[in-house]
Amino acid sequence: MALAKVFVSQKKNEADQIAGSLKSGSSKATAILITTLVLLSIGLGNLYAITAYGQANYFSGQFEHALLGLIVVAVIGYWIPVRIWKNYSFPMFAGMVLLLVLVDAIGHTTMGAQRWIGFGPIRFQPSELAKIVTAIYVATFFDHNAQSTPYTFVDLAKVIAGIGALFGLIFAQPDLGTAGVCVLIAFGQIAFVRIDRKNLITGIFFGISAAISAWFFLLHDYQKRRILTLFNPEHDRSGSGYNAFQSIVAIGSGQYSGKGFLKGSQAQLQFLPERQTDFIFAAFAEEHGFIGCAAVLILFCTLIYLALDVARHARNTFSQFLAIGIAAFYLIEVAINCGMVMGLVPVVGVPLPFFSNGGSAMLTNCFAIGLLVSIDRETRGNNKPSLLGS
Amino acid sequence: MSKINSRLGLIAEERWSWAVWVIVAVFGIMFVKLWYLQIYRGEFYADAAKRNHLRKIVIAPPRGSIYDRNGKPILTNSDYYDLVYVPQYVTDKEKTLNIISSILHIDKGFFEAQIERVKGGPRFMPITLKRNLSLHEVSLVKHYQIFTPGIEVNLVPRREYREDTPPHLIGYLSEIDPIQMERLNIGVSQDDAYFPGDLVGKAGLEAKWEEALRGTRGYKLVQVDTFGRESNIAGQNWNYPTTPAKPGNDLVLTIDRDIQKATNDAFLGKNGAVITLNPQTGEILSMVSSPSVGPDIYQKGMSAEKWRAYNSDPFRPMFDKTTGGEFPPGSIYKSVLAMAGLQEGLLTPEKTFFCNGSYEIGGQVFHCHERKGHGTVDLAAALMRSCDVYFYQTGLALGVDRIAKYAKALGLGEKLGLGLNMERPGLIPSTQWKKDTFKTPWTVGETPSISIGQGANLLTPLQMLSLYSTIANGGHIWKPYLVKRVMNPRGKILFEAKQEMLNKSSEISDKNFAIVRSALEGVVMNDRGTGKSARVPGVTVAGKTGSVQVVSLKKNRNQTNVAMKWKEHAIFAAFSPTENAEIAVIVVSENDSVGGGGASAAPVAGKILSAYWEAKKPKAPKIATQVEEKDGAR
Repeated sequence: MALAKVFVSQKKNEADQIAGSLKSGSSKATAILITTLVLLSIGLGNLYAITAYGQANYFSGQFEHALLGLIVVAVIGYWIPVRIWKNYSFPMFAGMVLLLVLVDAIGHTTMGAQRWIGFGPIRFQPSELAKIVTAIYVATFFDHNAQSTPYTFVDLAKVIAGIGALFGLIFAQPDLGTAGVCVLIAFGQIAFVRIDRKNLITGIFFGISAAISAWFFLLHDYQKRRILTLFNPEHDRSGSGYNAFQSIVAIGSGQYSGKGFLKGSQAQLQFLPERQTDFIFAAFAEEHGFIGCAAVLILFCTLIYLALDVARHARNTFSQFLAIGIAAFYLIEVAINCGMVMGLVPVVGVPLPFFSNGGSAMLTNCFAIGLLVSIDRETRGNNKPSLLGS
Repeated sequence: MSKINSRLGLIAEERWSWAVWVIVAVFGIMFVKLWYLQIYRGEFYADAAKRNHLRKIVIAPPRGSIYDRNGKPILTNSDYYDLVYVPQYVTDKEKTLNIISSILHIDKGFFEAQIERVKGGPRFMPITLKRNLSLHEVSLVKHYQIFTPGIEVNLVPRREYREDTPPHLIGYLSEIDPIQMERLNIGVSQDDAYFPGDLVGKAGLEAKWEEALRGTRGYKLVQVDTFGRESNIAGQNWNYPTTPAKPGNDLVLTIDRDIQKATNDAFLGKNGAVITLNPQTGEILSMVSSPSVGPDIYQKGMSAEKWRAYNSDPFRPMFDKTTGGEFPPGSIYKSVLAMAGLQEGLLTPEKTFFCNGSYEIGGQVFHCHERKGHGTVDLAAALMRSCDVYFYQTGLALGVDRIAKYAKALGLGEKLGLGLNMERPGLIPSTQWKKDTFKTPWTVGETPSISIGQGANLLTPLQMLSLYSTIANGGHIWKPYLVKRVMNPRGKILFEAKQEMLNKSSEISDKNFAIVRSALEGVVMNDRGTGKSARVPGVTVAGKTGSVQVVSLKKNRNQTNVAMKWKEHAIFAAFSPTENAEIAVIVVSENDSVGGGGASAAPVAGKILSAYWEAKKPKAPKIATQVEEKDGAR
């Protein structure tokens, strides 16, 4: 609530603020970078803790990914101008579709799904990057198709088709989580434009019909079970509800201040499934309690708010929609991942930014941070790339 | 900038605050849920996590040991391996049982039956699938353990039965049955309660002293990982409290292991019961019932076939005959008649009867076992040569009720209170008894039979022994006992038995006891006595033989070609020395194949007595003499 008031008051003093930020040079970029570094450090420390006594040590690998990620932030944020992404939007989208087709055809299989693709020694998960490509694709669409009247479905047909293609390819892997995140990012961006009322009502109707038919024709049994156990996680503790239940036990047992670093029995004793990826927040909650969780959630909230603020002050439509897409990206990932471990959302494979182990996700998150920095610098007019020119 | 977009109508201005509201709502919901899980329900989940990774493991207490009077072990424990099944950790019951069944070569149905038996119990409670695994089986189970979560091998202390452990006396252990468990668990705390699968004493001292022997189970908390494996994470100093098991208390018996062995050896090959005790105290020195079933057979588990075989055996190996077997006492009952006759003034040591081999009353002829007759016999000769005619007449003179009166005064016809196994009261017939039982009056023709210990008379071997020890000590009926003291594992005495007098037979004078004692001495010490094969060099032995006809065999009195079960019981009761006896012995040989009491039972008693004196003589340790003097003084 307070946040909203602050935002409204900010809106009123818009001009002053823009002037202030331009003059002082104190940028949102700095705040974004600091928030990111703090989250990244906590995430790495947590990853160290939960796998310290395990068979596999993910920490050193993830540390390398993080260093690589910081280079990505620097390159994207301070070297490549924002409009490059707009200019190369279609080739990027086409390349992503090609990669996803390749993954479906020849990709590596983990946990019953094909998600990986190998380039020599490097294995990459293209669907992670597809989240950013989605944001760029939708932003480019609105940049090219700006109109003052409300959008109809005919107007939006092209963007819906493009996102539908990405969704279909990722869902085919199958990876409901990532496919869903892509669609929700696009939805978040589209939610900022006016939609024709009749079209909207029809759209909602079609959405519900699609959800019902998806339940019967598209979803795997394990996905249906996960959705069902959401409503009663303690019902089947050994079957599909096991993960959800152990996760809730881990979070709850952290109580006020947690069991302490390296002392979480649920995670250390491997009761917690997928504790280095999808359920990492539960492991964190167990060791650091309500205080630790609150701190991390506030950091994420700050990051999302800063992204939204960057969007609001962005100089052009593309930058604005791209920043909105990135804000939506972080909000969706945090909400789904944390909601999932707390039993608010069905168990789907969505990583927690900067916490979950995984190189592709780390690079994607850093890519997004880099884009935010780049947009902010563009807004403040000090975007002076050295190589690619302006 | 944004103004341009607003002007274009591309971004609806209110959407910015909508977005903020969405963010606030999403994080607000997450904070509420976190608060609910971690603060509001935190304790519940902390406990759930603890239960998740801590397992309470039951430590079985070793049962108390049993020692003989000199501290020699009679029954102790050693470690055994049990195969257990913990439902909580079993992921696939079918697969697990299939693996275990194939590696141990045991039918899967057997295991399923074990699990079915304790169905409905808590899931963390281990179910014993098979007891006493061999080391080979243990290694097989351990080898396949990664494929069979929930299957474990537990080390448990269990009874180590020695070859000379007296089966009926010690009794046996068996898994508690649900009805008994329910009964025993009334008003008992969780720690002391019996669980399904617990072993409990089912017979003998194990049953009678269950409470003392049992001990208290302990617990330890073990940290396990998600697969139920005990885990010890490096660097974690999580110490969990352990409640050690309290071993059961030890019993020190009145039994002397050496005499027990001598008794067993002397009676080898015969069926029936042999008991020895100290007539001055009532302490039982040895106790054998034969045939028997080794307690280890119960412990290993008995097949239904075996059970049927034991049950249909005519000599009833599972039955303790020392306290529960009721036999007609035969001629050893003549001592009762002798004392009653003396006390009533019907007999004097000098009074004689003439025995011509039979006695006729009301047209009914009662034969003496010596068909040629004993001629003129006085009391000493009548007992020494076991003249039936003498006691027919004494019995008729006394009448059934006066005989019953003296028998009861001597403690017969009721339980002695040893309380071991199924102690029986025996039977002393009287006119009242006849009327109550058969609704017909007593006829005089029945009296001669009961006068020589046949007919309706029934005594247990323990009662026969008590009778002769009462004669030996001059009328004191001591309550027989087996447990001298109960000690906790650290040697603290929790219970010390005191000798307890049930009655002093004031009906019979000391003088008359002495007369009978000297007559009984003649039975053994006189060359014409029926019990002379019970003699022991260097000490006096007094006793009485008895041969009990199981059926009347008129034609074949030599007992050749007679089916085993129709043969006579051979009985011999004795004490030694005649005055201030230290040991009394009863031998009851059921359906003896050799012959009567004199020929078959007396030598058994002789062997036991000579073993007793032999053990005392050569070493003569000081302590033993002191005990002897003390006993004498009492």
